[in-house]
Amino acid sequence: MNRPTRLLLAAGALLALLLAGCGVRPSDVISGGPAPAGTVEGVRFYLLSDGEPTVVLRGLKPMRLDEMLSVLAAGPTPTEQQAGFTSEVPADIAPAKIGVAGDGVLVSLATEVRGLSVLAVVQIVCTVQAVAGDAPVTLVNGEQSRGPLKCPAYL
Amino acid sequence: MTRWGLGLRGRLLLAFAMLGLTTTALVAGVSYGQARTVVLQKAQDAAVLSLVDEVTRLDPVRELPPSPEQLNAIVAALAEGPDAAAVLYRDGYASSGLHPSEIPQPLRAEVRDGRVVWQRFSRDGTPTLAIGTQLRTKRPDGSTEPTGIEVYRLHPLADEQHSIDQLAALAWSTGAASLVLAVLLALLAARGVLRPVSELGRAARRLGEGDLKTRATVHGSDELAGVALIFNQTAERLERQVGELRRMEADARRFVADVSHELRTPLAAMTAVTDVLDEEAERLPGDAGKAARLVSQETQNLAQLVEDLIEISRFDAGTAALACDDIDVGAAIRATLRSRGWTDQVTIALPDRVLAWLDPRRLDVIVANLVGNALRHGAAPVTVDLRAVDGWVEVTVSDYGPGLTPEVRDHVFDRFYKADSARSRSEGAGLGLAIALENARLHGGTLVAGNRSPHGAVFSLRVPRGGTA
Repeated sequence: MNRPTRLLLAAGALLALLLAGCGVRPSDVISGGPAPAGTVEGVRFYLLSDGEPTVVLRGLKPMRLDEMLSVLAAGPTPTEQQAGFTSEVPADIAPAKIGVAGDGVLVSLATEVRGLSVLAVVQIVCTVQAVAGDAPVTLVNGEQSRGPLKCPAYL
Repeated sequence: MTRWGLGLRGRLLLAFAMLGLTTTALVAGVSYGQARTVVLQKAQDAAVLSLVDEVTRLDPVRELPPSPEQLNAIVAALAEGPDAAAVLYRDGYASSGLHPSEIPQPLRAEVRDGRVVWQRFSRDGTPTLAIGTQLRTKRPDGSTEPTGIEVYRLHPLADEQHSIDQLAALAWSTGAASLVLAVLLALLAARGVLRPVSELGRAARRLGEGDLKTRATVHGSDELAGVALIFNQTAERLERQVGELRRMEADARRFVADVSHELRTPLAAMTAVTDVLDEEAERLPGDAGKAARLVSQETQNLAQLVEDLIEISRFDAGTAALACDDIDVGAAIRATLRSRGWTDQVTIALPDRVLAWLDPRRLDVIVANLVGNALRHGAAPVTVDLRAVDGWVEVTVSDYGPGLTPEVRDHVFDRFYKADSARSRSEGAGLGLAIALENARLHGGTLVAGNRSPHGAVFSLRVPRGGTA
C-alpha cells in the first residue's frame, strides 16, 4: 500500500467516524435512583401472586386487626382472582384475637398454627404488620405458637 | 519535485491542510461529543426527575388490583405535551399516545429491579427517551414495596436533536474555516520560504551568466540565510579570482603594448638603415649581399609584427576608433588588390555602387589579410565576392585549396595561431586574421571561416551598411 492510498484511507476513516458520531444515537438501558413511592389509601392485604406474597389494596374503611384477619381468611375477591391472586390462608383461622406480647403483637388464631403453610404465615404476618408497623408478630393457638416473626424485607 | 509532482508550495499546502484538518477534527470532534453528552444528560436528567416527581405526587392509589379508571387517571396525570405515557399492571394497561409494545423490551426487564431506568431509542425516526419505573408504596416500617404498577413515559428528544445538529453544523463550519485559514497560512509560509529560494535561484542564474557582482540578499539567520551567505562568499571569491586573472591579463597586454611602443623607435631607425643596406646589397660581394638582404627582410617583418602588436593592443585597450566614411566597397576592394599587386591572381565579382559607412583603412586591412591568406594557404582561383543584403554588406573570399580542418577552423582567428607548424617564419606571425576579426567586430559585424564544397576555404565578412555610428 503506497502513501497516498494510506492517507486517503485514514482521512476516509476519520470522516466516517465524524459522520457516524453525529446526532442522537440510541443508548443502552441506564439505571437511576430507586423507584419512587406513591401514597396509597385503603387497607393492605397480602395475597399470593405466582407464589409470591403481594400487596393488594381494598378500598375499605379502616378496620380493626381481627376484622382484617377475617377478611384475609375469606380469600381473594373475584376481581383479585381474575388478576391471578390466590391465598393459602385457611378460612378457619377466624375469628382471631389480638393481644400484646412484650413489644410485639400476639395473634391468637382459631386454628392450629403448626398446620399453616409458610406462605400463609407470611400473608398473615405481613397483613398484621401493615397495620402494626415494625412490631414482631407471634401467632398462637392454645399452647402452639410461631414467632415472633417479621414480614420479609424483600417484598 | 516529489514523487507526486508537487512543488515545495504544494507540499507545504498539503501539510498545513492536513495539520489543520486533523487538529480541527480532533478538537471539534471532542468538544462536539462533550457538548452532546452534556445536552443529552441534562435533558434526560430533567425528564427523569420530572417523572419521578410527578409519580411521587400522584393521587393515592385506592385499589390494588387497580380499576381501569384508576389506571386511566394515572395516565392522564402523566401524559403531558408531546410526551406519551403508559401504565401497566400485570396483563392490564392504560396508555396515552403509545402501545405498550412500543416500549423497549430491555427497559421493561430492567424496571422490575426497582430502580428508575431510561433508554434512548429511535421511535419512528425521532430520537426518544423512554423512562420507566415501578410505582412503589411505603410500608409502615419505612421500607417500600412494589405495588405492581409500572409507569412508562416516552419523551421525544427532537429539541435536543436540533441543538446537537446545530452543534455539528458549527463544528463543520469551524472545520471549514480552519481549513481555509490553514491554506492561507500555508500560502503565507510558502511565500516566506519560496521567496528567498527563488531570489537565490535568480542570483545563481545571474552569476552563471557572468555577472560576478551578483549577491543574494540574506534574510534573517535561518538555513536559507546560511545558503545565501555561502553563495555570497562563493561569488565573492570567484569575483576576486576572476578580477585577479583579468588584472594579470591586462598587465600582460600592457606589457606587450609597452614593449611594442618601445621597439617602434629603434625599429624605425633600423628600417632606415636597412633601406640603405638594401640599395647597397647589389654591390656587396657574395654572402655579404645575401646577409644584407636577409637583415633587411627580417627587419621589415619585425616592423610589421610590431605594427600588428600595436594594433592588437589598441583593440585590447579599447582605444581602437573607427574613422568611417561613405565608401564604395567594390572600389575599395579593387584598390586594396591593386596596391598589393594581386589583381591578376584574384577573380573578383564586385558590383558597382555598393555604398557603405565604413572605415576604409580597416576594410583594407581585413580584405588584405583574407586575400593574402587565401593566396598563401589556398589554391587558385581565389575569388572575392561582394553582395549587399538588406542592411548588410557581405564580402566573401574563397579559394580552391584543401579547406580548413575542423581543428584549424576552431582556432583560425586565435593570435599567433599557425595552421602549419612547419610554416616558415617569414610568412607572418599569425596575427593577421585576429586583427581582421577585431576590425570586423569594431564595425559591429562578423567574420566567419568555413568550407565550401567540393573543397576550399571560405571567409565571410558581414558588416552593417550603416556602420555602428
